Amino acid sequence: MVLVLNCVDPRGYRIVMYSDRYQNHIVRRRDYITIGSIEDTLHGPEVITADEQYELRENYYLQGVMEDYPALFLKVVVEFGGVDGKVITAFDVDRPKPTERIIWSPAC
Amino acid sequence: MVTRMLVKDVYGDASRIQLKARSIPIGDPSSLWVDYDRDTDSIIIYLTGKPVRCTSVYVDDNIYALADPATGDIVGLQVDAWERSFLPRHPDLQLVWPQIKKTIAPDEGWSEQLKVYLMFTALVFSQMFNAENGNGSSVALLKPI
Repeated sequence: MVLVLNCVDPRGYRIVMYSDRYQNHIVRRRDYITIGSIEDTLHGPEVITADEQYELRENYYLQGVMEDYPALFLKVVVEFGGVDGKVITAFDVDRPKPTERIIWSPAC
Repeated sequence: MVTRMLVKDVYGDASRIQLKARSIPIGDPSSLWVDYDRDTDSIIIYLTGKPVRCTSVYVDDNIYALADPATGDIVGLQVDAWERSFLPRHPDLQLVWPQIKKTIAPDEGWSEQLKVYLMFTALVFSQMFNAENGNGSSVALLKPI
């Protein structure tokens, strides 16, 4: 597996993404999502929420990283089951999912 | 820091894109592009025959409409928690799913059988989901041709 992203979130947690996950899942579904936009979202999210289905997963949101539609948010789902967090998926949304619980924001 | 706040307390609940309904091309599986991902337990259906530029607009119950961000035209659907949440609430679909899942190559995420299965699943969506548009009235997201 080839590492294509290795960064730290605002809480100091290291997060990685592997090429197979990026190419065979994220890009296959949405070829316009770049590694750079995922890194920006993990490095400086507007809000982090708890995933509603998976206890070990957290969702990072950042508005403005989609260059063609700056009003949109990029959602990056990260699993923290091992030493480092691992990117599971990423897709753009019109707004963060309303029912998710906020676990971090810059104002916290 | 862990908070008790929900996203809707900060960002509101309403969609920021006004969705426009789309017809489902019944009987033409070639018009669908589908993918099931085991790691996220998510289904994605493009009604455009291939992935196109779109954004995910949350509707309800782990279901997103895929919409053209410029026009709001619906181009597909995304369902998260497919096995965990959606199928248990739809026994007819759940009954067939194990056989369909066996046809999906792990590295490819789709099969012809999955296309046909999801075409009829889209019909279920068309019957069960309405979305509030910006005027507060209801619009069907999908409708059979």
